[in-house]
Amino acid sequence: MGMACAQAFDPQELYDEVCKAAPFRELDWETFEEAIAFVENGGYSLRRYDRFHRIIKRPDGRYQAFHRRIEHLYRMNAGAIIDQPGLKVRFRTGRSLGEVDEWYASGLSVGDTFFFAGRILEVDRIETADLYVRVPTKKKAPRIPTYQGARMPLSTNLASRVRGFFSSPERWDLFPDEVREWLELQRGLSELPPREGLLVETFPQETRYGPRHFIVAYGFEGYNAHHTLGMLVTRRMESMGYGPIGFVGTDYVLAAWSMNPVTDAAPLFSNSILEDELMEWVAASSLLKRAFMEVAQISGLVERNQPGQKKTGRQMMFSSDLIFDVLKKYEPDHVLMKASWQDAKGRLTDIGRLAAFLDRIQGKIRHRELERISPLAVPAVVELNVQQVDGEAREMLFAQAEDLLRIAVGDA
Amino acid sequence: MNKTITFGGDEFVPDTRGALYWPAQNTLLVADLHFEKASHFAERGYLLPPYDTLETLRTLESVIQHYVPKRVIALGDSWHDMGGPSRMDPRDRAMLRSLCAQTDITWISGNHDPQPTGFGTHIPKLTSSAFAMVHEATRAATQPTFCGHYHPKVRVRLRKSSRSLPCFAVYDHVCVLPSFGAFTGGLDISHSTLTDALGMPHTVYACGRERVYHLPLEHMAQTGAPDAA
Repeated sequence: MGMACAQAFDPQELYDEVCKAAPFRELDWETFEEAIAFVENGGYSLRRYDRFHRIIKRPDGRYQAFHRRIEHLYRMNAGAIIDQPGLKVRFRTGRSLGEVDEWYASGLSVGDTFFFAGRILEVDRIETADLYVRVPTKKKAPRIPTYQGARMPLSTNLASRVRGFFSSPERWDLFPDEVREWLELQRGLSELPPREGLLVETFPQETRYGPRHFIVAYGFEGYNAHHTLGMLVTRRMESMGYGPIGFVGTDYVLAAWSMNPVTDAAPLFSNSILEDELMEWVAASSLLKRAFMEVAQISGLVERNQPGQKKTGRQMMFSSDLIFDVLKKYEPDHVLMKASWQDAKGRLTDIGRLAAFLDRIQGKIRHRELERISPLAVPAVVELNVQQVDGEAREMLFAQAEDLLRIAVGDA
Repeated sequence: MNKTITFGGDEFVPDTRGALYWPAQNTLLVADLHFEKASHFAERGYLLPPYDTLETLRTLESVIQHYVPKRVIALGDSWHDMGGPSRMDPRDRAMLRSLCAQTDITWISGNHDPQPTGFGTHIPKLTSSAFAMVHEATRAATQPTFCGHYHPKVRVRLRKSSRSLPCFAVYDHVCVLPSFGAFTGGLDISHSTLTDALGMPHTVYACGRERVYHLPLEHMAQTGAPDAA
């Protein structure tokens, strides 16, 4: 569109140029044509808007803007950058507890519980700029334990080096004595995470909610990937009847806890979770609609700035939701829908990394059913607890961590 | 079976799709169809999906087939603008013609469509001895009046979640219908535009996906109450 406003362009030349930009290097001609068609007349299969072209093809094959007013409108909205505002966490009374990043909120579905500002909260509804919560009626453990601000994930290279360290004890003398001792214990009581493949441990553990079963997977894929993995794995645990209660993702591990012991870990880490559970999750959370709202704005379907007036975010969300529903029903393959799906999937940080990880570990999952917590699992289980208690109770936790360690080592 | 709304001494059946059926007169009321809203925007450069008219027509057809009314009264803003009929897709036009042939559709003028549009009877307002049917009413109404215009919505708590649903809002002398069109939004019943014109409704019937929820005002007060005490 911008091209056409500046001067007439040739689609083939533009395609070649666009493909030189890194984000579009894999753009195929077909998708590019769909994008041109969208700019031209909406690109709907029902060709209704032939009279309302925004750009037109000239006899020489080049496209130009149809109308001066259209150029004007475009210029007012050029360079749309959709910011990622924080969502205010509020009670229904309007009292605000603080803010969470949008990416975190968009992964939540209504009814999910999470831990924030020292309380367990249940998602009541999600609006454009507000996340309404309430105190759960029943005492529930938070499913997605906590909110923490965006972090730098562990890089892939670093992750593989960490795994490498575990599997080469001859290099352990680089570590302080305590760490070495800890790793020795892990090797004796369970086993060390392999360089390839995935170590999964399951064990029962007493919690302040009663006896529970834990599953810990040593993925070393970074916080974001583990967080996403946790969402998907707990969904599958749900459908397999393990009764998952919650999970925690750290840079190193994913730990989940459930009512029933996980007896077969392989299906939880099958790469099919990236299809079934991911689709389910994306569709159930507000990710897809939100992605559509952004796509609608960037594409100029809904423009933020109009001469003389400004729509508020709220109004925009509203109308893009209605458009989304109708478009989904009548033309689910429209280029804007495709773009929304891709965006929504891409928004789940590190999905590509997760896919590579799952591929790598297929058939190489080592499941250890332990009688008690392993030394390496202690930090994750402590983390799970830390994230659920208010600051003042932290001290108690250090004592608890000691206990856990004692249980793990076996001299309790 | 759906609940009924007792209004002005007669019984009416609210439908989840946003229509109101009047069994005693075998008449169906709908409001704010906003045909050709998407193409109205398309003319201005916003290429919205051109399926809103079809979606609205299909919904209208489904309620007509369900109640088989002798007469349908559209309470104004049936077209998003006066240019709508000329932009209509031939297929949609044929479908609307066929609906007009199945039942007697009376079009009441709205602020978006003040003039006749060439589909059946068009009148500014409809008054009988018992009821008035207009596009826009205020609390000044003295006789029981049905209207549209406001696109009322209400926030309802359903088991786990809370959603904003289109609703029928019943006031002392006025019953406001929800908007029926596919791309039409809405205003919460507590929005000042509505409260200035009509005050607060004493009863609301919210259109859920599967059923209509009957909400007396006390209940609404509850949902607005502090949740986190």
